[in-house]
Amino acid sequence: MRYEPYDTEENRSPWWVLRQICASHKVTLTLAVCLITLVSCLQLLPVYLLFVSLNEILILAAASTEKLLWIAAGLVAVIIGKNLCLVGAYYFSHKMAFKILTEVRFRLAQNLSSFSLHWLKKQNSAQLKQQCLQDVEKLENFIAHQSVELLNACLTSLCIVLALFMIDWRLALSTTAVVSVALIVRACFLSKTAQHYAKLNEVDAAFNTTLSDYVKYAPLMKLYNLDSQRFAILDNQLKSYQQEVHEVVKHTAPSWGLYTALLGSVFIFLLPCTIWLHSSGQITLSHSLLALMLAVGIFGPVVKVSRFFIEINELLESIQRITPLFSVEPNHRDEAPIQVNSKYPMLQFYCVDFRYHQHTVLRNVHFKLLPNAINVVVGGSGGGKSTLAMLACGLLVPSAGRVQLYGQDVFGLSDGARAQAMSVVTQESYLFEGTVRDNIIFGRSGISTETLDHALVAAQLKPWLKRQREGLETPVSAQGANLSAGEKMRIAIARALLAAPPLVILDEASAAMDNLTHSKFYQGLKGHYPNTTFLVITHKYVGLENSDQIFSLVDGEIVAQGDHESLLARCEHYQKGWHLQGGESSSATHFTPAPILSYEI
Amino acid sequence: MDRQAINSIGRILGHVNDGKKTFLSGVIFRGLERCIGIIPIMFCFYWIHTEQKFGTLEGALLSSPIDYFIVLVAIFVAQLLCAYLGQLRTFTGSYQLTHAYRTKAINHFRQLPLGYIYKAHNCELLELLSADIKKVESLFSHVLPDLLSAAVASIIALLLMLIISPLYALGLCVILPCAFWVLHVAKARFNRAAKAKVQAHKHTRSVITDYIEALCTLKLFNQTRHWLVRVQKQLKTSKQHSLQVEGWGPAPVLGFQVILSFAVVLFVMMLAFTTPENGTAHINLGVIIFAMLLLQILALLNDAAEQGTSLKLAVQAEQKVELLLCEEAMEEPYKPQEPEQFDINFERVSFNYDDKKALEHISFFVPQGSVTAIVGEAGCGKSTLINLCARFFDPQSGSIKIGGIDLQDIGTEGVHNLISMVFEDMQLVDASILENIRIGKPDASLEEVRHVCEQAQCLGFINKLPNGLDTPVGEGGVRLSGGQRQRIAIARALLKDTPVVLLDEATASLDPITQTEVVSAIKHLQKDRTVITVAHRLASIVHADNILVIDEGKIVETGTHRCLLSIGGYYTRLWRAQSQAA
Repeated sequence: MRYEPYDTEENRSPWWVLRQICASHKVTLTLAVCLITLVSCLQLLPVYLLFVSLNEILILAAASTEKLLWIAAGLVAVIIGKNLCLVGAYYFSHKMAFKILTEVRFRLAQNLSSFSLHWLKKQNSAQLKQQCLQDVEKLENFIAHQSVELLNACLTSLCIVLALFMIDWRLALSTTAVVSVALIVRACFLSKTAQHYAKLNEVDAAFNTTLSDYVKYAPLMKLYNLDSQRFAILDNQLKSYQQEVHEVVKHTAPSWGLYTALLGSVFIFLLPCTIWLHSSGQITLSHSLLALMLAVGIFGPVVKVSRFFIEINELLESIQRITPLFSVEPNHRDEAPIQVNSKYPMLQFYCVDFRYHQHTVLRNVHFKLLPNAINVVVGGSGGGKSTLAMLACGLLVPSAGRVQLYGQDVFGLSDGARAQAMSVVTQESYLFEGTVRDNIIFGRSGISTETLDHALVAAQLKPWLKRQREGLETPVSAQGANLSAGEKMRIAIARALLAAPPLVILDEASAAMDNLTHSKFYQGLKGHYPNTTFLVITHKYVGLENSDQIFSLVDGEIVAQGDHESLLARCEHYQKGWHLQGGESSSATHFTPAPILSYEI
Repeated sequence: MDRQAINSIGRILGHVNDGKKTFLSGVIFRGLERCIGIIPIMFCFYWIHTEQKFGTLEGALLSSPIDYFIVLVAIFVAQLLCAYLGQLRTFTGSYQLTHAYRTKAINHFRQLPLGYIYKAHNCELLELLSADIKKVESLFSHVLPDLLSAAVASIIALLLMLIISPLYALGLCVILPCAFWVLHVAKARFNRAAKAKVQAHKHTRSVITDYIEALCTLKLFNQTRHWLVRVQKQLKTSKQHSLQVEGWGPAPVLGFQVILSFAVVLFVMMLAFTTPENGTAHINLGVIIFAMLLLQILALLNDAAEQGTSLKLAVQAEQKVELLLCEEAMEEPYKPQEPEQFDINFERVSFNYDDKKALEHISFFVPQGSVTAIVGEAGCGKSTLINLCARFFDPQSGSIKIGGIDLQDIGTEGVHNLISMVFEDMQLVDASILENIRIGKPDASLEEVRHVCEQAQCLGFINKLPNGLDTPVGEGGVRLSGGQRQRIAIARALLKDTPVVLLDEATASLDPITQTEVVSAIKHLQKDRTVITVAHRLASIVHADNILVIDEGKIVETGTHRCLLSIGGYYTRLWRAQSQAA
C-alpha cells in the first residue's frame, strides 16, 4: 500500500511551524516590531514628563507656568505619537494576519486536494473543517491582536527595568527580584498542580462525553422513560466534576494568591532600596521619585504577559493540529492518462477481500466487467454493495486482492487519469450552490448542447426540467437542500454521463426512482451510450431484464453471475428477490382502481 | 460593562442561589487586595514628603529603610491574605454558581417538549450546555472578579484623590466620562462594522466547508484545481474585506486609552496654572501622591478596558442559554391518570409550528386493537400527527385522548409508558445490540430478548455477526444496514410491549427480501395493539382497518382501502401512481 506523507510526518514544534508561517512576511513583521518597540519606549515618556513637571515644582521649586505648559504640549505630542505608532503596529499586524490567514487556508485547501481519495474518505470532515476554520482563525487572532499586545507588554516591562537600571542597577535588581520570585512561584506550583489539572481534564472529558451522550439520546430515552436513569448518571458525573474543581481550587488558590500578591507588590524591595540609596547619598531625590513613578507601571504588563501564558496552550494546540496538513509537501503525481491496453480487462476485481474493523464486508470478490455493456451488482442491504462501489472508484483500498482498471490499481490513479477513465455517481454526490446547469457541467468546458441534452434525457431529468419554470437555470442551494433525493441523484447522474467516459459507476443511483422510471432509465442508458461500460449497483431486482451481466451479491460474496434469465433459473436469492418485487405488483392488481384520466407521474 | 452585560449577569444571578455570597465576598477580597496594593504608594509619598520637608529621616515615624521594609512586608502579608481569600472564594463561588446554573439548564432541558428537542439540532444543544456554559463560567471565574476589583480599586483611588486635592481630581472626573463615552460610541460604530465582518466570515466559512465536503466528488471529476481557484478568490476578497473592517477592531479600546492618557496632560496643565499663584509649599503635599495615584488608576482602567472582548463573548453565550431557559416546558399533571382502555381519539385538533399551520381540525377515532393508516404526500402533516399522539407537543386547540383521558392528564411519562414508536431514523445508541434492545425493558432476560428478536426477524442477521447479540452497533448504528436498524427498533418496541404502537414505516428504500422481513416483523408488532401507522408504500396498508388521507393538514378522505378506491378520489390517484410504478 502506498504510504501517505501525512501519517508519517514527524512531530514538529509548533513554534517552528509558526516561524515557518511568518517567514514570508519578514518586512511587515519587522515594521510591526519596530513600531511596537517605539510604542513601548514612548509609553514611558509621559511618566518621564510628569516626573519632570513634579520635579520642577517640588524638588527644584523652579517651575514656571510657561515651562509646565510646554511639558503639557509635549505630553499631547507624545500621546498622539505613541497611539499613531500603535495604530500603525496594529495595521501591519492585521495586514500580516489576514495575509497569513489567507495563505494558510489556501495551503491547507491545496494540500487537501493532493491527498488520495481513499485517504480523504477515512478522514473525519468535521476535524478537517476545524483545522481549516477555527484553528487558522486562532492563529490569525494571535498574530493580529495578541502578538502586538504581548510584545508591547514585554518590551514595556523591559524598558522600565532598563530605565531603572540607568538610574541605579540596584533599583532594577530590586524590581526584577519580585517579578522573578513571582514567576518562580508560578513555575513551582504549576508543576506541582499539573497532576490535579490532568485529573480535572480527565473528569471534564468524561463529563463532556456523558453530557454529549445524554443530549444525543435524550429523545430516545425520554420515549422509553429511561430519562431519569440517564440523568442520574449525568448528575453523578457533574458532581464528581464539581468535586474535582473544588479540589483543584483548594490546591491552587494559595499559590495563585501568592503569585498575584507578589506581582502587586513591586515596592516591597524597591522602596527600602531607594531610601537606602538616597540616605547613603548615591541617588538624588529626583531620581528616587522617577524610579518610584516608573515602578507603578510595571504591574500591568507583567500581568498581561502571564495572562497570555494561560491562553497560549490553546494556540499551540491549534498549530499542532494543523501542522501535519500544513507541512505536507504536495506531491504532483504524473497526470499521464492510462494506457488502454487490450491485454487487460477494463475493470477487474481480483480476489478482493475487504475488512472493516475486523468485520469482513467482502470476501473473495472476483469478476471482470463486460465492456460496452450494463453490468449489475444486485444484493440486499448490508451485503457490501456500496463497499464494492467505493472499491471500484478508489475511495477504499482492498484489504486483500486487487481492483484494477486496465491493469492498474484504481486507488493509485491520479485524479486526471481516473476522471478520464470513469465517472461515478456515489450516494453522497455533492451538489453545490448554483444552477442545475452549473451542477451538471461542473466546470468542464467545451460541452455542446447536444451532449448536454443527451445526458439530460438519459438521466431522466427531462420531464422534471420541463416542469421547472426556469428549466436548466433552476437554482440549487448548497448541498441541494431544495431538491428531493431523487432529483439530486438524477442531476448527479447527468453530471456523470456528460463526460461520456469509458466506464460509469452508478451506486444506488436509481434508488429514489419509482419502478417505472427505473426500467426506463436502464433501457435508455444502453441506447444513449452504446460505447460506455456501466457498473450499476442496486437493490432493485426489477428492470434488470436487459442487463448484460448480473452479479448477485449476498453477504459479501458473489453467489451467482449471468444474465437475468440464467440467474432466475439458477440463483435462489435472485429468484426470491425478483418474485417478491414482481409478486407485489401482481397482488396489487387484485383491486381495479377507478380510472383517472388527469393523473400523470 | 454595558447594559447588556449587566442584564446578563442579573439574569444569571436570578437563576441560581448557590455560591452567590461566596462569590461576592471573594470579589470584595479581590477589591481589597487591589486597594491594599495602593498603600505602598502612600508610603512612597510619605517618604518623599518627609525627605523633602525635613531633609532627613531622623525623627520621622519610619526612620530607616528597615522600618519601611517591615511596613511593606506587613502590607504584603495583608495583601497576600486578601489575594488568597479572594482567589479561593471567587473561584469556589463562581464554580458553585455555574454548577447551579448548568444544573438548572440541564433540568430545564429535560422538561422541554420532545418536539423541541427533536427540532433543535443536538449539536447546538450540546454546545449550549457545554461550551456556552463554560464561557459563562469564565465570566464569573476570571472576567468579573478582575473587572469589579479594578473598578473598586479605581473608585477608592479616585476618592483618595478627591480628598487629597479636589481640584486636580476634578480634571480626572471630567476625563473619565469622556473616555467611557468614546468607548461607547466607538463600540457602536464597531458593532456595525462587525456585522459586515460576520457576514464576510460566514461566506468564507461556507466556501471552505463546501470545499471540504465536496472534495471527494471534486476529485472523482478531477475538478479540484478549478475549485481551488474559486476558494482562493473568495479568500482574497475576504482578506480585503477584513482589512477594511477589522482595522476598527482595537479602535474602541484605543480611543478609550487615548482619552484617559489626556488626564495626565490635564493634570500638568492644572499644575501650570495653579503652581505660581499658590506657592510651592502649599501644594506639594498632594501633588506627588496624586501623580502616582493617577498613574495607578490609569493602569487599572487600561487593564479593565481590555477585558471587554471576553465579557462580550460571555454575554453572547449567556443570551443563548437564556433562550433555552425561556423555552416553555410542558405542563405535567399533578396526579397522572392511567387509562384502562386504549382507543385513541382526536377531537378537532389543530397545531401550528410557529406561524406555519401544520394540522387543522383533525378528528378521528382509533378503536382499541385496530390499525389506522395515515396516507399523504411528503410534508402534509403525517409525522406531526404521530408526534402529537406521543405528546411531543400539545396541540394548540382540540384534545387527544387515550382511553377517554386527555394526554395532558396522563402526563408525558404516562403517555410514553403506553406507546411504542418505530421511526424511519430510529435511534440506536453506541452500544451492543443487546443493550439497544434492552432499552425497551432494562430488566429483560436474555430469553425474552431472543424471543423478541425472533419475532422481529432479527435473529437471522444477528447470528451471522461475529459476537451475536453483543456486537456493538457503532455510533448511530453505522455498522448495521437500514433494514437491520429498523428490525432492532421493532424488537425493542416488542420488548416494551405497550398497548399502543405508532409506526413510521419506511420500507420503500429496502431491497425486497429485507422489506418482506421488516413487514413481517411489523405484523408481529401490530398484533392485538392499537396502531397508527404512517404509510409510504400503500401496498402495506391494504389490510388496515381505517385509512386517513391527509392533504395540507386536513383529512380529505377516510375509509378502508376498498372503500377509498371505489370513491375514486385522492387516494385512488396515489394508489394508481404507486401500482403503476411497480
